[in-house]
Amino acid sequence: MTESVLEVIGVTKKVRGRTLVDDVSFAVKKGEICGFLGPNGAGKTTLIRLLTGLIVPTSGELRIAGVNVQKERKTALGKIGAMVESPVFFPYLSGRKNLLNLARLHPELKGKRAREERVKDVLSLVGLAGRGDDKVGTYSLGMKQRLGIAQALLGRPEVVILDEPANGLDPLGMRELRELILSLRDQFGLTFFVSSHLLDELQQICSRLVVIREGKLLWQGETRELVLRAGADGRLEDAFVELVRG
Amino acid sequence: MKGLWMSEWLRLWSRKRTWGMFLMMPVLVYAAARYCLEQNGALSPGMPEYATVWNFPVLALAEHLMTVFNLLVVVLLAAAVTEEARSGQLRFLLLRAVTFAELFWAKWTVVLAAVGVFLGAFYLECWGIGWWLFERTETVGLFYREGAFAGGEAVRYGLAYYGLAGLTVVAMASVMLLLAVMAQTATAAVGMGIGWLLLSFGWPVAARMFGAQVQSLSITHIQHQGIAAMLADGRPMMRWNLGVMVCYVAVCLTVGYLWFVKRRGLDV
Amino acid sequence: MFELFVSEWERMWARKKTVVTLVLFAAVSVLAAMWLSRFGVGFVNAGTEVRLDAWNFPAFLLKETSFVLMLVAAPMLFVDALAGERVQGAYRMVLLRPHGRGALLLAKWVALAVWVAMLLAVVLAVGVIAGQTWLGDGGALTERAAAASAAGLASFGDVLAYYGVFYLIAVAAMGLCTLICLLVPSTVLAYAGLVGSYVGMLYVSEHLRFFLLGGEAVFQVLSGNGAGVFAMALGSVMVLSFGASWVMWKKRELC
Ligand SMILES: Nc1ncnc2c1ncn2[C@@H]1O[C@H](COP(=O)(O)OP(=O)(O)O)[C@@H](O)[C@H]1O
Ligand SMILES: [Mg+2]
Repeated sequence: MTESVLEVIGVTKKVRGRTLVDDVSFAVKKGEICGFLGPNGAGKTTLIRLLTGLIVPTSGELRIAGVNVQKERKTALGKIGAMVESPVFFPYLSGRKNLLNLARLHPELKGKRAREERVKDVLSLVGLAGRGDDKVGTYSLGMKQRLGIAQALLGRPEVVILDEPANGLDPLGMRELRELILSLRDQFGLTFFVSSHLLDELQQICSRLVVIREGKLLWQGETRELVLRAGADGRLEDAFVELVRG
Repeated sequence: MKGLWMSEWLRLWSRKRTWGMFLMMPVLVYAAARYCLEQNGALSPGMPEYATVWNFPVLALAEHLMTVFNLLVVVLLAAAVTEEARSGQLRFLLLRAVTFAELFWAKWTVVLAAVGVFLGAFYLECWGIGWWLFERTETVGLFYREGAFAGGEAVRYGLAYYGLAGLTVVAMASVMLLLAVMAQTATAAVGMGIGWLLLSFGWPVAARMFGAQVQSLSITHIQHQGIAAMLADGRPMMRWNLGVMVCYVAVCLTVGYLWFVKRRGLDV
Repeated sequence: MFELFVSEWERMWARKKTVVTLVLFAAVSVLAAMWLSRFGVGFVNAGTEVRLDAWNFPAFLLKETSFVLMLVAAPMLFVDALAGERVQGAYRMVLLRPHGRGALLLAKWVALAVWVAMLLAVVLAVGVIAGQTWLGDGGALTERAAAASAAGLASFGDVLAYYGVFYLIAVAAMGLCTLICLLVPSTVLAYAGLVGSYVGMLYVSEHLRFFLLGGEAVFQVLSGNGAGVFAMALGSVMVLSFGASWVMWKKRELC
């Protein structure tokens, strides 16, 4: 039995009387790639903001590698790398400069050399080594997404949380993204928590799925359970749509 | 085009900030009235600066609040043009087959209409608060005019004053529109707008030795002294000042329009 | 903490506006110095004038450029750092790093305070050079004495004191701006709110005029009139605005 590295326990978030996340609980185990599915406006970004300590839950608890995100925010954030919504970089700076700036915020990357090394590594991990010195303003959407993943990897996280990383990617970009996630998991044993509003983007690589709608947890389990549910001839997509329709 | 105009207009008034600024006006008018009452103590009735019911709307605008209208156009245009363009909101409009040209004119006229509403409301509020706080004297003095004038005459003068004041705000707004179109960020738009205002304040001081015409190249100078001069006996500055304002509007709108249509098409 | 500051500082200069603002501000200072030195007299307040010479020139130059500094060059950067970055979304990347919220805000404040110091250094440098170049050193002793009593300028040390007190005012404006940026949702409103609050304070009390009329207020302080009240007023604005924004920054949902 592997330990859970990401735990959401009875979390509710209310904003001005509206319940954006409603008593959601689930857990993700180490080394898993967990898909976080839900239609637009389901509350995926809200839950990811909770997980990354950007906002505070009304009730409930969130833990990363056993560390409470609210009580020990700094320690928890040290274990997470995240991209929340589409990443915003400084367009007049190169991708490398953007990352070097953020690398300063990682205490474990001490000194210029260490930061430069790390930035070089993450850039080549996401396949941007050749374009690192170009200004971000000249990047395509897919390259910006990859740079967003690169910045999430800067601090050698245990858990990587990505909010709709497939947004705006073409089929080829999507495949590259899937391959990138898989290889990172295999190489470094990273745990991934990846949101999307489309099932087929993720289903191939996710071993586990968490589905929410209108802030409520709809379904969670192994991807193959969903496959079973869909039946021998039924399509996975249909099972998912059925789930979401309720 | 009409639909676009209405949607821009309604959007402007659906914002809390617009209403916030609108509801601030009576407070400002009241503050100006208290100030004028205090000043009256040191003045004798019959002087043009002596505030009465008849001339308070002019005094309130001239002495204090012209700058408020200048700042109002800075804020409205920075929000409607720069902020929206930079946050990508314009893209949604452009998806609905609206051209940049239509958008430009819609935004410009919507802001002008809003300033008109603000100025009209301000005028009425001045009457309301003035009626309550000031005397209804028999006669009143007017700037740069010989003699004493009856209330009705002063009201006619006030309306002309407000008309010209409206024109100066239009001229100012055209500059601000140009700045808002050129600015990369909303903060830059506001900063450039305020910088322009400071330049306009400084110009008449720096150009004192060149005389009233050169000084009047500054719109704020026209606002502070030019309008009264335009309405003085013989209308000495009328042509020149109107010419300056028309030039500002023509140049700024042309450049702003071309910039908006040519450049924005690329980076939205 | 140092790396936090450097990161903040780098991001500040990653915006084109920062360089442009610095260059334009230097240009404005030079133009103002040209104009002021030709004019030859400086106004301590509306009624009192002092003959300018090489040693008192930097103080009067700051008084002339103070409007541009307090209304444009400083607030534009304040609002961008304190609200713009958050509104635009770039700051999320920073908030996701393992640091306390307080430390992040402190880094911003330090970076902005250094920016204001840079602006003042530009004016001081232009003032000293322009004063030496365009104005004589030789005000008659009686005139010096008059300047000393009217403006509180008896030595170059007093000129530096003038800059120092003005610096405190600009830093207080930064505190005020932080608070406003946390209270209103857009950069345009935050900027307008800051300018509005400068003006509003003028109406609240004559002792709070220093945000808009700092040049004049500092002369008054240096000449020994109402320094206590000034310190009280400035101190309370600072304590309230910095304190309230500190608490709100830590509690509020920043993005
Ligand atoms: N700060 C907020 N205040 C009020 N409502 C919000 C706030 N943030 C998000 N929402 C609302 O919460 C819902 C969920 O949003 P979000 O988490 O962004 O959805 P998703 O990422 O799944 O598309 C949406 O209806 C959105 O309008
Ligand atoms: Mg989302």
